[in-house]
Amino acid sequence: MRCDEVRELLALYAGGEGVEDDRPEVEAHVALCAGCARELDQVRELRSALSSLGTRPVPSADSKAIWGAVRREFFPRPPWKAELLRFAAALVVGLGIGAGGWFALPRASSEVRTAGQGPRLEALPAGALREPLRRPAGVDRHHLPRVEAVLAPGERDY
Amino acid sequence: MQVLLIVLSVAQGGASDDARRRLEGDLLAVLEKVRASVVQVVASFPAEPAADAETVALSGVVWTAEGHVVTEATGVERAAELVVRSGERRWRARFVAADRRSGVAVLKVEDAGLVPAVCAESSPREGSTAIAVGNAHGLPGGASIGRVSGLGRRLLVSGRRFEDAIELEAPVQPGDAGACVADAGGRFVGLVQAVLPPGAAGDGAAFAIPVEWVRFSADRIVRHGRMIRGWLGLSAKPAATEGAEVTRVEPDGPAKRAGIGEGDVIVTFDGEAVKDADAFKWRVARFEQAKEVEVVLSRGKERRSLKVQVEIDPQR
Repeated sequence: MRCDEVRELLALYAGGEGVEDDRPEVEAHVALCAGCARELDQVRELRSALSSLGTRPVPSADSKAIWGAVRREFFPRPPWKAELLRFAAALVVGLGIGAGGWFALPRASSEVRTAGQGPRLEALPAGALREPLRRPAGVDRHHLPRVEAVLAPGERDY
Repeated sequence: MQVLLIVLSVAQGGASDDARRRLEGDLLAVLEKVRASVVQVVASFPAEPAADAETVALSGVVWTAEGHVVTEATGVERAAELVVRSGERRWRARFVAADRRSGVAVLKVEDAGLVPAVCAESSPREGSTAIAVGNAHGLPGGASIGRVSGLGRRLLVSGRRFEDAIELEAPVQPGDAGACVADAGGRFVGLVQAVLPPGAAGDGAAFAIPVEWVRFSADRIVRHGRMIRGWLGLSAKPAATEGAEVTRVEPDGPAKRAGIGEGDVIVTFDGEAVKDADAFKWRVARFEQAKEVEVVLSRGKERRSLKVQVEIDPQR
């Protein structure tokens, strides 16, 4: 099994779940791969931490009051002057963008065109403006292996 | 005085602009030189019981004017069909061989018009400029610039161990496996091999096979048509005092058959003292045919002399 396949199964394996046929392969891979072994330890720690969380009773106040308090905490209403200034600034910016766009757009020519005159405008092929980095036809994947572990220095193979 | 200061600052600003223009001009010239030797490799794999058919794109570097191309081995081994692209030109390529120890594969196209890369004589230094030129996401000649952030890295990639990798801070992307890493002079110093995945400590760091190993593997493959290198079937680390301390012995390798075990310290090999682990690695790798050599090893307090048959690496 490859590391990306094993990692998808680690959460189930850590909980004693998953397909029985996969367990020996997962175990064999984890025994050899330091990276996946480390990730399995982390999954087990997380499961242990979550299982130790307890529950507490919710206050009896109704949900509207709760959400109202939360909103006031995180989105305090600004003073009325600040709100007015903010509105005015947004209005000025909007008008400025609109005016700029009005002057930048090309004007329709007042010249009357008849059939056959002027440049022919052809429709772009469908999808030409989308996905500029679409993969060339026939390529499923661009290859770049991932490092599973950076090993300690010193030992060499001969 | 104030006029003099103004004149001097304008002159200095002008000189800085000139320096920047020269620097950019030099960089563009280097990129153009490196791009001429970088190709795209497209490998098609047939369907297998555990995998669908797929077509994979990566990069390669022109190695000889006769049409040999070096690339990252796992992207092309067992491919049913290989195509090399450069600009608008296309060639069918033949897989010659790969060295599984270094991760280098050699392809061959029938063309006399490719421009081989100019190799650096040795590995780059830490902190030096690294320019990676490849085919990220299929876009030809994409380049990124960074620094060499480490040397001599040992990696686990696709279940295999690799040594002596160059660590880079230049960003690489899918499709850059087999890309050329060049120094500031445009000389080939490494072949992009792998990247740390997102979320890992130091994620984004890339690793390249150093040019010494690319040269060693590619020249042997071009000369012999397959990878030939010496093999002992053991792993070792520098001993505390002298020699190499054996840490692992392969169950069916020459070292095991000769009686070498874990904990033994190899003091001399083929008549020469083992003082440097790097030099010892090259001495073993350079064998081109099987040969019996004498090894002196230290086991506890006693010294023993053994005969070991250095074999040709089976490339398992």
